[in-house]
Amino acid sequence: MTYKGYDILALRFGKDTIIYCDKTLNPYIEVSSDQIQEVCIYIRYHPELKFSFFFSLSGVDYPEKNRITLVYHLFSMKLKTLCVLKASVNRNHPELESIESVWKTAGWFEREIHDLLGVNFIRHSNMKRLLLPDDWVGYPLRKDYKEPLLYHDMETSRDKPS
Amino acid sequence: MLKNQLSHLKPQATPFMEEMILNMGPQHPSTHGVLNFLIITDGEVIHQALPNVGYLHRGIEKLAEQTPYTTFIPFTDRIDYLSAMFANHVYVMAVETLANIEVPERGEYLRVIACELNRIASHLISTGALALDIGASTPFVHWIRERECINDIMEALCGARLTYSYMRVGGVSRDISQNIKDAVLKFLDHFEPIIDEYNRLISFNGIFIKRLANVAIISQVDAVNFGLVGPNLRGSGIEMDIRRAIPYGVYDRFDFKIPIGLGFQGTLGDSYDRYFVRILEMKESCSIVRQALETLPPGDIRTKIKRNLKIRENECYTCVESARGEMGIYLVSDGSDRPYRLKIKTGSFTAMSIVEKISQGLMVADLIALIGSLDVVAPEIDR
Amino acid sequence: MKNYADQLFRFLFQAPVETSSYALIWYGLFIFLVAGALLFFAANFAGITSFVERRIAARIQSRIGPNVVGPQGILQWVADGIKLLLKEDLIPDRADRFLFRTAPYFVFSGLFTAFVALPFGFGIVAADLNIGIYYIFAVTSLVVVGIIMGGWSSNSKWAMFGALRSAAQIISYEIPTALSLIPVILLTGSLSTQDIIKSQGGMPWNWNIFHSPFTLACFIIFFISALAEGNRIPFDLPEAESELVSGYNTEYSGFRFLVFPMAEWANLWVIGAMVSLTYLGGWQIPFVSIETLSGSPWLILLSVAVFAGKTSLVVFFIIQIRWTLPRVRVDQMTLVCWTYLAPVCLASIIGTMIWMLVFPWESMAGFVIRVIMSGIGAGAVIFYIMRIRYNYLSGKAAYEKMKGIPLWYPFWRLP
Repeated sequence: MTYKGYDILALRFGKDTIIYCDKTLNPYIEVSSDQIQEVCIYIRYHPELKFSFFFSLSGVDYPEKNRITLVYHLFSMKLKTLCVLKASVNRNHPELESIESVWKTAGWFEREIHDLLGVNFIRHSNMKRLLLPDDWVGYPLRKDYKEPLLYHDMETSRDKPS
Repeated sequence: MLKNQLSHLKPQATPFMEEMILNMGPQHPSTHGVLNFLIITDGEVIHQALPNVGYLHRGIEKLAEQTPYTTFIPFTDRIDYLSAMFANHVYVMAVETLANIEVPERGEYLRVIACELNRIASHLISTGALALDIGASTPFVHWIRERECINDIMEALCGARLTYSYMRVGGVSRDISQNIKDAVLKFLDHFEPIIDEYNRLISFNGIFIKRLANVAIISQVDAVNFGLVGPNLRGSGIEMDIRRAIPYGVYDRFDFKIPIGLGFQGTLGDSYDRYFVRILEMKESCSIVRQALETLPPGDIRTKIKRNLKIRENECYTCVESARGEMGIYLVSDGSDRPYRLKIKTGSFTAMSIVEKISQGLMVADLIALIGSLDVVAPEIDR
Repeated sequence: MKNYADQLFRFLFQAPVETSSYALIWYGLFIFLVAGALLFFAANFAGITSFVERRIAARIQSRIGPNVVGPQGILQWVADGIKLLLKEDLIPDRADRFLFRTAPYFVFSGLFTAFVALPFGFGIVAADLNIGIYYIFAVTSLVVVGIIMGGWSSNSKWAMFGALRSAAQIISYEIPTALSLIPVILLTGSLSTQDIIKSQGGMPWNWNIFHSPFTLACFIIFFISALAEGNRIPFDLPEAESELVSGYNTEYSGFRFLVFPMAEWANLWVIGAMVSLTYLGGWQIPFVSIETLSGSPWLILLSVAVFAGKTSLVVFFIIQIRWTLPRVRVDQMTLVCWTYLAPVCLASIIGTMIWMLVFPWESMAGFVIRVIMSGIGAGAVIFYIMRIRYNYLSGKAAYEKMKGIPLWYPFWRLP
């Protein structure tokens, strides 16, 4: 994401809610979690930005900060550049606006994050586990996840092969 | 009673009036791995097909958090067993970008050669399996025969036929010898005319065209909205290729075309377009391999890296154009010798999410053509 | 067959059967003998065809195929049969056990009773029924009853799907199959299989197929719809293995399962024999009139060979189609039947009637047209062979250069 794109965003949303950070290899824009949908709509349809390709949505768990960070990777054919949006949610009550209405494909990514990290996406059409069984306990990609020893009376671990 | 039995399944399906619930998979011949579709049909016509994934979830992303950077490479083979080279490539690229490791030029060229050969192998399976799903079993076996040649080359090159683990952080594992070079050229000389023969056999077959053309049309809007990537996206007529859009490695040095769907036999974005884009892409891959072999520079194949690779706190997103489209890795490091978080984005995952929308109103046989033409590989969805 | 029974009785017991008091017992015995012979032939043909088909498929797919059991794997089908006999006969829980067990009998009897009216050579037919063709249509329709029973009683949705597809397919293709034979019946004036062959001649221009463009069209339609009735690709929708797992026989195992493929392969002979007897001159030997044929037992044996040869060629062609073409969709299948095949058939019937009046069989014009038509047919066959040769040669050199082993072996030196 170039500074130009950031300027366009900052004009609309203000520099205090949208923070640009270029310390990492892919500079990212920090967005507050309740604004993410608006930012996504804006960034997708703005004629000078046109970040129409949704690459990926990942969630990262930071237990020491008590945050879960959601990272959106977008791509614009017009600018030929990657845009990284970041939104943080509280780890105890992770809730966030769903962007399924902006990109349909985000629905499945959000379900996967709900499945593995336990983030709830508001106004998602089908907020259920995607990969794991519905009655699975816990969110495996959280750093403090302990795998249950039994699942339906089946052992989930086995002895180390000798 | 039926409702009670199905209630624990993830997609909620409620049959209405004359509708019937058909459970397709996970043990079904043409779901390309372990997939489950809950199909609500009225006779042959599908009203709704709900994909139910997760049968092959192995938690590779969680495993990555417990595995040192260099040791994780064999795991990436298992993400997509048909095109393991790309998963290798995108992972080592992510680590190299984070650790700021330079790859020798020869290593990059070898990566290109291996990747493009793997792309051909993967497309062979994809197009052949599509023909098999349509009911023609001969093309698949012919393609398997050609793929065997690639497998032999790969075995000579990296010692494995399917799960290559050829890439290393900082280069590739082995150099290409003159014998392998000759074998690759021999294979290309042999293979390019075979594509025409294959087209005569199946691509231009009347029944085959009738079965695929105008079936399961994905519009450009839908293709972008559902995040389709790779040949599926290009089949809808959008010229988007990571090799061009975000050039990585040495791909900007080669001259190749990006084939896009033009509505070859029917509407733009139908199953036949997605199929034929793959056929055309194989020809382009052949030309890329030829160019890379011609201009293969001498030198090292790998830079020496520290045995215990530690990367300071940083993050990056790298992506390559795999056989199934854009494959990306989001890698977060925290200063230790293993990733803090590794997210793998694959093409089949997004391709699967479109099935529910496109399959409405198709026939059962068309659904199989749709899945075949989307080239879905189950372990890639679930990881 | 009655005169053969009489002759055999006279040969064995030196007495005319008509005066013997054991005539009824003898005829009864003879019926069993003939039925046994037919069953033996059909079962063995089905088995050997299964092996032959697998070998041909292997060649088409540049594989080797079964070659372990017996010389060149010729006993593979016996091994397969024994294996399936030894398997457990599983019946799914909550299946309709009675119907599930009965269904294979219907399929079996539907196909094997068709052999009764099929000729094998001059005068060699189990029963020269005067409604032969009609009879064959009637009994082969029993197969679909068995398939629907098997599919429905399995209590599996995939099997049910296959059964319903099969019902739709076989019932709709009965119509073009029957209609496309009416020109032959018009030309012959008889439904008896022997009479139909007798009305034709040995040379191609005396065959029904080249009588007029209409009979040629009807021949093609009959061939296509016979494929559909026999559940062969491109019409193998009822057991489309990539769509419906295995179609109506999904839940069957062991010998009950074996009946279905066996019936399919035996049906190949029925299709081939029907095609060759109605349109391709049957057992007629070139340059041999029926009077000389009836006198010599050697010529009768030759007629058997001619008939078997023609039938085998048709069967080979069907197998080749099976391993080349993809499968049509279910709506395309019915669309082809009702919008192309059936109307063309009806038009051809009328066309043949007019043709018979304008160019009678004996007339010079009719003969010239038949010769021209057979020339066109020969051209098509030559084109077909050259096309295969071209395809074969275009891949051969590249493959041999690549692999260093020959692509094709003569059949006596197969790997």
